[in-house]
Amino acid sequence: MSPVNDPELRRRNVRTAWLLAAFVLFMFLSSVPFWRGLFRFAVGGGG
Amino acid sequence: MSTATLAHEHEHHGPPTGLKRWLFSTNHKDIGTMYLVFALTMLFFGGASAMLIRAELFMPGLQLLEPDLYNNLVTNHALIMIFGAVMPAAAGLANWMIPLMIGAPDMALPRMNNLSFWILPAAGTMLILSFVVPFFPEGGSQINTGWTLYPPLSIQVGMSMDFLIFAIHLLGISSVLASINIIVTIFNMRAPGMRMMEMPIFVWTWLVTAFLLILVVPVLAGGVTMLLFDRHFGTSFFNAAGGGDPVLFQHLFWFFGHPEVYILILPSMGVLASVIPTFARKPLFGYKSLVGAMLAIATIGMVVWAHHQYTIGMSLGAVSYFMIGTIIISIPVGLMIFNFIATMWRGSMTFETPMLFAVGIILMFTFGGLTGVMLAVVPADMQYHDSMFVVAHFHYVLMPGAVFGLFAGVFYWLPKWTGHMYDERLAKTFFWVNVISFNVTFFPQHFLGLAGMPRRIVDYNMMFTEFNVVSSIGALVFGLSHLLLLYIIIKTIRGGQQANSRVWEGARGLEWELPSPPPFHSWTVAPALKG
Repeated sequence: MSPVNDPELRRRNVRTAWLLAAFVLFMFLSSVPFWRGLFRFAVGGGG
Repeated sequence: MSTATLAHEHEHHGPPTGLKRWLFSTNHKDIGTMYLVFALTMLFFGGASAMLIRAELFMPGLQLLEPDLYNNLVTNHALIMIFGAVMPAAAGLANWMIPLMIGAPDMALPRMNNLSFWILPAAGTMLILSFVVPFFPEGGSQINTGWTLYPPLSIQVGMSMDFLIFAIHLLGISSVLASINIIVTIFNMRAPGMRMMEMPIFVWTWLVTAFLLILVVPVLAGGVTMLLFDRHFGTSFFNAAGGGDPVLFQHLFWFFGHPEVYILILPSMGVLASVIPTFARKPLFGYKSLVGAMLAIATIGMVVWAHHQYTIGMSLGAVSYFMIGTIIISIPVGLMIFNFIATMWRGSMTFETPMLFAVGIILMFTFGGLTGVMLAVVPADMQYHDSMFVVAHFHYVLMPGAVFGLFAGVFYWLPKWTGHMYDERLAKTFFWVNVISFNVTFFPQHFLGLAGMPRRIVDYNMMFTEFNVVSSIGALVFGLSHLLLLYIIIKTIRGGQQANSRVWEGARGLEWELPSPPPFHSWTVAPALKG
């Protein structure tokens, strides 16, 4: 069976892709509170 | 190529024909070609806007453009070049070359690959519409923010800003999908026996670039989404009157914007790592240190974004940190350049067009890096900030560091893609005209900046006239020279001397084991790697 049609490889590819997509979603959703928090920390002089 | 591979490939069907081949393509070579064609098209849009900008700046006073239209052109020139030309061109090279280089039959997720590409024309249309919309009745004001989209101005701009925000969302989705695909392909689809530290450097550069993209693009998406909410849904993330702060947007933007520079440059450095050993006829010097340098650039590049914002009034501790961090980046970048020069050292060098570009890149990119160190120093940057010196600096970084690297890659792999050798005499003419006119355009801008000419200004003081005249003449030649590139590419596609599988005498790597052009389905049987 060629690598293109190997079902196990396809499953592994899709799993890795979902893992990376979850990371992207985390970066997107966390960006708002993270940056607002960091910004307050910065303008508050770190206190 | 082994006989077994050839026999297997003959069993497969050829490419589909007509429009279907391109609309529904899941073939990495076809999708790579579409990326490259799209990038070339956008290069001409972005180039046309740059030539209009330089035509306006040919003389002081207002000649051709209203100030708002000028600002709109400045905004669109940057966005089209970065998101429409350079990133898709690099993605085109990745699509074409990564599977061939690692012995994979295709990208890991071919249908998603199709989606990643076809989002791009929609995004490009939205981007161009954001430029066009203000010309229609009720179209609102022009986008006069520059590519940085800083509020409060970006909150006040008319509906064209919404088109732009939507375009950025689409471009971001396309980039993230393509990056996920590239990472999965590199992790899971390498030929059996190919370890990570045996991959070609071009593949490594794209792995690092793809990770950078999935780290920073979502943050930009978050930033522009907050901007959209401020514009239409009554929030005050960036509105001081409502308790927000416009400087927060600058942090969000540059957390994306600075790594974006490395996203644009790294794939081209990967091209150099392929081109230089081939034409120096020597193995690449310091493979492991190059990989380490790339990882260092990516890591440090993520945490120095605020050197773009020294003038906003940060604390002394913060600016000191960002200054030192930025200067430290010059170490891994210098290491890369050192490795390229060491690869050439005592090599049997010949200077075909890709190698000419490689040598030119080393000289000009290093120069751009040096002015970058000047800009990293806080007291100096206070003087240079928002001047034409900055424009000269980043064009010296991005044109050689990204665009010329892509040109080198196109000339290096064009015979492999088309099966025909390009016209070397014409290509060398293109190189010399392109590089000389590039320097005529941008070198005088250093002096303009140092003398105090601000950037993003439609009119200027009489004292800046001479250098602006020189710069505009250079820009005219520079812009038109790309028509020669287009001619060379079309001529090569249509015919020419037949290229053999190993196009260049010194070329090494799996991609050169396949015929030129490679079959529609390549590496359907994984290649056996020599020890």
